[in-house]
Amino acid sequence: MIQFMKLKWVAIFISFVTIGGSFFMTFNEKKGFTKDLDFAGGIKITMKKTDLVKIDVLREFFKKNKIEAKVQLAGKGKNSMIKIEIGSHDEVLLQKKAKDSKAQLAKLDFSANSIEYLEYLMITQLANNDKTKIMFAQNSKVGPTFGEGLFKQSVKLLLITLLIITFYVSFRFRFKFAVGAMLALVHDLFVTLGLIGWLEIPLSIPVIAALLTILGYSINDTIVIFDRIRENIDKNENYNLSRLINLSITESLTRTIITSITTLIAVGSVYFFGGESLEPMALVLILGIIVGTYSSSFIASPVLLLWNRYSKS
Amino acid sequence: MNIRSRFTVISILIAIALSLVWPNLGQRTVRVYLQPRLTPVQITKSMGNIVDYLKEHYAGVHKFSIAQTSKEDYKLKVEQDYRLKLQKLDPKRFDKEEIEEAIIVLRKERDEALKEFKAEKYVAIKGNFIQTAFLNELSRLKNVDPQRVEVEKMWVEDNINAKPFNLGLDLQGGMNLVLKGDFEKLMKLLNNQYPKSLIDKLKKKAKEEKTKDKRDEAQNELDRVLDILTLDEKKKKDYMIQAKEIIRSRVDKTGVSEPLLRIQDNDKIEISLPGVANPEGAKKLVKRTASVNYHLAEKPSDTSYSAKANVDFNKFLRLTSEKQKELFIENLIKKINLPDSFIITTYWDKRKNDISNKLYPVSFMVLEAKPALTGKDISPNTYANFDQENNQHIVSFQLTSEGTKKFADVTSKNKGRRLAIVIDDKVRSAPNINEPIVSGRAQISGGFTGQEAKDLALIIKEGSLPVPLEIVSESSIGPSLGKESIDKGVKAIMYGLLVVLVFMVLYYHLAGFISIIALFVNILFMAALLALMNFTITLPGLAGIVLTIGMAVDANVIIYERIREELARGKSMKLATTQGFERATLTILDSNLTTLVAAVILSQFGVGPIKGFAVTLFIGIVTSLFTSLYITKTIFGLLSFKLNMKFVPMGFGRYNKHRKANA
Repeated sequence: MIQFMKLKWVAIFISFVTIGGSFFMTFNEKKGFTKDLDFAGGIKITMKKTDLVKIDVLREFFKKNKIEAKVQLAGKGKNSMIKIEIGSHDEVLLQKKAKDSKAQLAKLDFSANSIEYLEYLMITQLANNDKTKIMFAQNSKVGPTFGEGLFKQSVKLLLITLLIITFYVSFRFRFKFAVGAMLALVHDLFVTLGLIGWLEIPLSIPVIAALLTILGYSINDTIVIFDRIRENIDKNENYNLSRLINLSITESLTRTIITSITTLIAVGSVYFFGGESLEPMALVLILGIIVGTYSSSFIASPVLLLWNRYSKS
Repeated sequence: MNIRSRFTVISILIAIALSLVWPNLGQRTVRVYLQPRLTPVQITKSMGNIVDYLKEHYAGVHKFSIAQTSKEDYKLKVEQDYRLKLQKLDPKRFDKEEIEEAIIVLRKERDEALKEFKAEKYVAIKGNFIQTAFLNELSRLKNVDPQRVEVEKMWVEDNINAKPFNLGLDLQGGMNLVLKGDFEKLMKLLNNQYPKSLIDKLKKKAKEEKTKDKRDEAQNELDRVLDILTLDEKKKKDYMIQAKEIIRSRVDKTGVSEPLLRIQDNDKIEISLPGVANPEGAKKLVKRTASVNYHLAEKPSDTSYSAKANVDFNKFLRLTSEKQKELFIENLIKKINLPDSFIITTYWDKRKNDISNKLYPVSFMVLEAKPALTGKDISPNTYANFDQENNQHIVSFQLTSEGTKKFADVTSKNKGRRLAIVIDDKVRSAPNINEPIVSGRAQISGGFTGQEAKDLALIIKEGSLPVPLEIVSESSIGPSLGKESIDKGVKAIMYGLLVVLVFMVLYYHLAGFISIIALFVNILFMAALLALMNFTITLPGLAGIVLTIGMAVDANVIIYERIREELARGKSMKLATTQGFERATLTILDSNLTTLVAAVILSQFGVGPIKGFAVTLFIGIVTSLFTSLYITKTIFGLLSFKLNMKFVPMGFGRYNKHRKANA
């Protein structure tokens, strides 16, 4: 039997330091969370890299036109793509310019909107009016208020999920178990969010979906241990809760490790082979699974123990 | 239940699941037919163009060839056409006699068609993962008949309603638009249309008119106007629903199949068009305001223009593309020296005995360029009606006060001239002006069916869309990018699966192998349920499936660890199996139900992509519960009870020693 509960204060301390540290890094070093197009609004364009369309050419192009844009290379070799991101502030400006040059745009059969205006600029300035040279493989545009609404909704969703899980656990177990489970979930959410901010992973809808999955995974893990604790409580009439918790965690340890390994293998495979667009989501899942596994033994159980002690005295 | 019947249940379920996912596993064949009435030269050239296009974009992905319909195909097609036409004979729309008559005509047509077999050329394309986006892409190639890009149905599709997976736009390419209702703009428009002065006037009338009837009339009008001017949540929602339906009918008309339209948060419409590579065209389509205008026809004295134009009408009919038609009319205007104040339009009508209700161009009609009355002059008080006297569906409407004046003016000054009703640039009817209409009430007749009259009333009602829409989010994804994403996703799943398999066998030996069987069945069931629910798989959804694979193993791990514990206590294999499952079941149920509850809630509250994710999670949990608690249990039962295995290899570890000591 491993003495997990001896480590409870160390674990709680480590968690606080991780949350505090990562949030400190996020807001002091990184200027807060980065939001993806889904939430922040703006334009995102993917183009195939050609002899004409190259990173430095495009950077020069945006500089000349006074557009603030992030130009990045994605993928390797023949299939490499160039990703362009423009914030919602510049998007609004582009939209305005597009409206002003409506007549010019119409000549080349373009409509007056920001994306087509960009295409038009590139064709006239980079490609000698040859339309076939400039092709957008993918483009998306999100209005600023729309993104904001979506973000608020996602936050609401996370909170609802938390509440419902707590409610359900207190219904299935006793309330003290629910407190442990909920705090563990809140812990997972904060640690993962802190790491997301620190690692500059942009918040997007898939990332929110990943956070929700982490909640599901973590509660699953916690319940398996709680179930063991409950079973051991039923078996022993006079028990020492701290000892029982240690026993239960140890008994389920193999299962905890094997499940987290198989899940990590699956998610890791998405991270390495799933392509660039799934990378952020997979990375968040990897982090979350590790954090979620840790929290079941080191946060949920100690909270259960402490709550039990505190509420008795 | 004994083990034999358990195995029967499992086999039946696996068979059903396999047939449900079958359309995704086998190769599918698409037939691309050309438009009717092409010359042999055009046919050969168009076929060549299609094959060239496919070679350029899909070489190595799909196989393609030019083929000819066989006699059987032809027979089938004729029969199918016949059946389709029969279905259109809606008893609600036609009387009994009409239907009987039509059936006789149709039968005759079919029998005649069956006699003369005509082979038809088509391009056959064979490949995996053929999606709507690809079909839409094909249907927009030159000279392809968009109605006849046909996927050959598999047996399972016809008989047990199996369907190919619905892939999201991120996987199959296409465009996605989110439109928001601009209610502020709408209020502005309404306030212009019903200014305060008008309301004050009505209020005054409602109080001060002499007779009660007149006061009531004014009061009613006032109530109506005030009702239009108030926008509550319910009304907003109704407007969005109307807008959605209008857009849907427009999209349907372009032949884009499987468009997805849904309302978000009561004030937004999300539109997904798979395979639409021309975002601008789609945007125009969505934002276009279907127009209804009244134009005066030229005076009977200078009918010459119409007559002159109609000399070339048959040449015009032979043209196929819109561009060619535009050009033709431009040239025609020069040819007949038409002054700027006139336009050439086309009169469209239905054919007699043609129940497909398709419109065909009948002749040119020269109209005054300036509309006598526009959609703006028509008040929202418009509805579809049935004209008992003339036995036809009509649209009745009331004009606005300004429109009433204009209409009275036009009808009194131009007696004897024709007034053409132009709907979406098509002249649909052109009645003679017999007497001045001063009441502001009028009607449109154009040989409509009941549904058409309803649609038209809807379009006229609010000018066009009930509320102006603005695009708040748009994205378009090229088809090749989508294909790449699928390949990568599938690769990720395969690799993940493989490593998990190796790990499980190394760790749990034979038991690990059993869990692999369970895992495969789990994936099969998941796929079958997703196909059955017509669920749209997106990139995050694919990741969700991968995650479920990882987590599905969990239930088996919990069971195995329990059995090993029981074995370590020195129990026999039989006892350990029974007790291990008993203990594990409770744990598995508890832990999964918690996640299940969360998944259900998410699928209720979540927005689009998150909702999809929650559904994947939900299905994954249900199937993994079944496979671990039923299938694994059955296999273990078979091994330790039926085959009397004293020892099922479950990996290395402590429990082995006990096992050997006990034996």
